[in-house]
Amino acid sequence: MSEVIIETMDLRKEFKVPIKKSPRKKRGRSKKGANSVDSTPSAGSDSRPKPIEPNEKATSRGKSPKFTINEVLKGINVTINKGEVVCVIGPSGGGKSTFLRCLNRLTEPTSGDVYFEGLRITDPFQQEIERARVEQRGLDSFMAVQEIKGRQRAVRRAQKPENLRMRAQVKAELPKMERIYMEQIELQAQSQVKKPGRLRRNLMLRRSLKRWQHTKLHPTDINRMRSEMGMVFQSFNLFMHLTAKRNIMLALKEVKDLSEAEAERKTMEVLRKVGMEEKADAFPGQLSGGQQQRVAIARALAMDPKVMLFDEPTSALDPELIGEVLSVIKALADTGMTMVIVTHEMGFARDVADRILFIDQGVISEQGTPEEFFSRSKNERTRQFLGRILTEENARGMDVPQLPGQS
Amino acid sequence: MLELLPFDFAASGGSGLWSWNTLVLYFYATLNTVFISVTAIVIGFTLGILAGLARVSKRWYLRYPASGYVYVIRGTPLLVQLFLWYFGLAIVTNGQLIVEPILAAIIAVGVHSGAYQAEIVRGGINSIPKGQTEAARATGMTEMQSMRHVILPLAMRLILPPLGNEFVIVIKDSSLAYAISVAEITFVSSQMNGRYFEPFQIFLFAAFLYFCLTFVTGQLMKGAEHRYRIPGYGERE
Repeated sequence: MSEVIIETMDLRKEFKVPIKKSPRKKRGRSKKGANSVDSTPSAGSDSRPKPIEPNEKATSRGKSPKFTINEVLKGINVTINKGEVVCVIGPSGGGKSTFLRCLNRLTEPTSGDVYFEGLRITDPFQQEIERARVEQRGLDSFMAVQEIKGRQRAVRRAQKPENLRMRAQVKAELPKMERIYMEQIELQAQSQVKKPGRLRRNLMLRRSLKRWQHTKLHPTDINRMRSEMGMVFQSFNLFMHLTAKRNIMLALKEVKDLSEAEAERKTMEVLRKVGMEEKADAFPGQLSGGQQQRVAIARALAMDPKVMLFDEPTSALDPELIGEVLSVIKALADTGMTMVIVTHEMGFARDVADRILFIDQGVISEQGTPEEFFSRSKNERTRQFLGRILTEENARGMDVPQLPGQS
Repeated sequence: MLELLPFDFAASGGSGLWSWNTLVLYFYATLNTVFISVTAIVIGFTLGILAGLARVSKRWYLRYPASGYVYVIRGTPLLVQLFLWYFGLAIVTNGQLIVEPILAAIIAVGVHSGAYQAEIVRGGINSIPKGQTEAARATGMTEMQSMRHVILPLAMRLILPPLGNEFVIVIKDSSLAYAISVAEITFVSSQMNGRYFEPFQIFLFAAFLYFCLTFVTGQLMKGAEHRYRIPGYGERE
């Protein structure tokens, strides 16, 4: 049974582009303008859900809006299963990194949801605040944000266990929800060939309830969630003032509350895994790029994450250092770690991935197994992209599959 | 009585400009200057860290007062602030609260320096690459934890040079306390000048004393920079 680990549903991210700049710049951006949500309706090339409403309030008052909303991601629906290695590829500026960063909310998506093991990571209030910041200006924006924060505080207060009224309300609500989910499950069971047994049904029910509770009542503790999702960055981002060992121990002690000795034991264990134990006392500035990235992987690994997110782990490395990092990631994949990897290394992606996502202009334009993707791609845009990349890699003498129909 | 000057120096002279008595006088004057400077630096550093953190805070009720403090203090002359603390406080409280001159000097210089140090701290925090925060937050640390364990330690190392600069300025600024008759180096010098009228000699000696103090401060800061350097980070060969 494959458990849903990350389930991203309709994840959108708009980012802010100031429009009060020179008109020359605006025209220069007109290619992207197809995605921008200005007063003109966007010429959507597909039937994806429409981006969020443009800022009518500000324009109707005759003020120019502070920002135009430019969507990076539009309607992405992905489910990542346990043990799966998903490689995300695509042209630069297509939203790959944004997609990855939305998964642990390092970038706040302004709409859409991310679920991690059935719990919603994204915070609707936070998204509302983000939108208010973008759409309104000056005092309006401030008042709107304060109002949202007020509601957020009220909800948080109500969720405190000592608030008996709310607790009673929850108790009253639960059987109702239970019934609804039971009905749903019964309906599902009728349509299925094999009827789920009592055990499985109970499991489904419990999970639904837990999920309902978390989505409706409990704001998810994003820090706890992040501690279960390791992240590796393009530019390593090791803490400059700490040795490799201290880099790893910091989060273990601060987040996981391990003792010094326990943290050190765990640290040496993960450092051995990435082959860096003799450099434990070196500062990041004294390590090569590849070594830094291996320490960064160890840092993420030390937290015993349930999923690892790699944001172009080899893009900032010299060509001869790429290999050592990739082999560490490959070894990690072989242990059955769930991973999402944004990469430009096509040979590596083909080698390690169970599934490949091609993200272009904010949508997943194609996905499939590596064989399907690299040899039998149907999408014209994908073939074009692959053709360009692969001929380049061929020229560099790398072992990559030849694309049929491309010379 | 906070002042360390133990005797009335009107009665102290009598045996020439560079007599033993004069040197003792200058010794106590230097002690006063050091006392004002060190206390003001401690106050200023505390205020600077607090206000600097408040200025980068997301909370408006911390950010705006801190910004107001920085702008007001930075935008008015220290001499005027000194008079306000010394005379203004007495007037506002209708004579209930008359501060000692040296106390007024410490408060004025400390609060003044705090505003500048707040800007230094803010600059230091802003100059830390965003990736450091992100890496800390991605491991599950809270905003406070990442600030305390990652951003501040890094920022403190980066701001050591401008901080040393500020400390030197505080020592020199303490000379303004002369205007409210605190017996520090400048005040004593001007009194000696009134008595013996040897302005060049006397103020050259005062300048020498100030230079000694600032030089020692500079060396201490250099030592601190060396002590807290990060191997392999920001080093120039």
